[in-house]
Amino acid sequence: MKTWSIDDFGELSIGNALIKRDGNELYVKDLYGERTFMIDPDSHVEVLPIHPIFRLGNLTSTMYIKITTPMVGIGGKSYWLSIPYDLLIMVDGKPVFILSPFRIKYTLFGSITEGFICRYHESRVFRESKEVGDEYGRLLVSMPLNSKIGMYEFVLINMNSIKIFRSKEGLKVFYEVVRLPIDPLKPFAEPLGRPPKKDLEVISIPKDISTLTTGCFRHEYYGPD
Amino acid sequence: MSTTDLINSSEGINATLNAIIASATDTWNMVLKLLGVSVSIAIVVAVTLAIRTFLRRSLKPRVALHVYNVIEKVIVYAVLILGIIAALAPLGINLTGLLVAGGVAGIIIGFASQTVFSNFLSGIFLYIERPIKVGDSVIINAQDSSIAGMVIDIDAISTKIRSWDGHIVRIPNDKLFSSTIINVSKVAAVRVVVDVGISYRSDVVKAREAILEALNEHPYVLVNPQPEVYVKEFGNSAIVLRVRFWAPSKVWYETRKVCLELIRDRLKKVGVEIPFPQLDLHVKEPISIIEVSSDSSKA
Repeated sequence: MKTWSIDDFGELSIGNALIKRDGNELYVKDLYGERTFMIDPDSHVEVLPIHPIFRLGNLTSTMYIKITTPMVGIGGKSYWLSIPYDLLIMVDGKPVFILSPFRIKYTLFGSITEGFICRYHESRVFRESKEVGDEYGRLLVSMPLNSKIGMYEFVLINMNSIKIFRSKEGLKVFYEVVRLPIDPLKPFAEPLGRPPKKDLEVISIPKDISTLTTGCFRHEYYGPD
Repeated sequence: MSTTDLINSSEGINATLNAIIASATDTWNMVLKLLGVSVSIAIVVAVTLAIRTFLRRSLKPRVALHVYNVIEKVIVYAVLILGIIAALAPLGINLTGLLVAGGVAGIIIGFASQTVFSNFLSGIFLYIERPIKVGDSVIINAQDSSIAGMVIDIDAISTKIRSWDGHIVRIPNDKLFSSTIINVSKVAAVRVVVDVGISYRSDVVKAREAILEALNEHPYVLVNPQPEVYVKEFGNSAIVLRVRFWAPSKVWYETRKVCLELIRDRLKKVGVEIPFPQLDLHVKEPISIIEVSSDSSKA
């Protein structure tokens, strides 16, 4: 069974992300870049699923999930959505690189003058967690009891305020349960502070991740010619 | 001693006593005046400190530090100087001359520092309007020049911009205030427009689909607003397609550069030709070609 750690000669492949260890050489790759690290043969290499807001620079902390099969509000019901995540590569507890198993896209939410940038993802609605594709993260959304909105076509989440979990067995990623908003003027989903199921390990994001510049797309605006 | 002598002596004593009393009264009055002036100055200082505390609590959190420092100094020193001048009035110090001299000096300094004051006022208005802030990417279009770069400092008199070539450009605030400012960082996303010419032999629909696919590959080309491709014009050598897409304002230029390459590669892959300007010559009559031999050339 695959685990979140990579032994001496092992590799881990999730979506478009590949982490390969060959003794003292660590090779990481995704759609947006690749890199090789020299590491100590005794080093411990671990992969942490983290919020998908770090790869290609910190452009936004908001996730916009477009629901391809819109949900019609039935108060109290819960459904599953797929949601992306990034992978933080840790060598002996030190973050060294961030990979994205998924294609990255962004969108503008709101008007051209007052809108804001969001990470973009499309998902169907699933009744069961196991229906979500293996490589994706899983998000359990709860419909509000007194829903005034008849139909939900998207979910907007502030990723800084939602916890991420990984399964202790297998490579499953889950997010904290959220409740869909009632007021259309407050479109963000509300984190409910509980994991969607038992036996999950909450991920604590290392504080020094903000200093990690590797894995970012060339980002600075150099101005026109 | 006669009575007259006694009377004279007592008058002398009276006069002396009166003089002593008058002197003591004057001294006492002077002491009172000094005391009053001291108390007045103390009150002026206390009021000034109170005003400074009030400014620090109410204005400082809302105003940029460099602007606040100037405002605080101007107000505090003005209150202090005017208060002390007013407090010294009971001592009979004629301050009219001082005020007149100060006024004249003020006018002279005012004329001399007209530009500085204009810059300072413009700086305050710039702060109130906030068209730019430190870290913004801007294009300043003044009457005679255009500067593009990143704002690195805004102070009371001038604004400093690091141009994209790396130079530090200092712009007086009054000039900046009267310039057209394009702030690229003020909005979340900007629209990028490029024109792509394809040959008249190429399939426009195929080219459009290929371009949209190429744009879709790039992470920073926003899903919404959607990218669009349409025929802009029929040029001399090419059908010109206009490509419009939106990108986050922080990375629009980088996105534009990469997308041009992606578009070119994708068009090449699907067999759409990007032509270069060509000129077809149509000759009405056959041209006779005369062979010139080396002998005849010598002749």
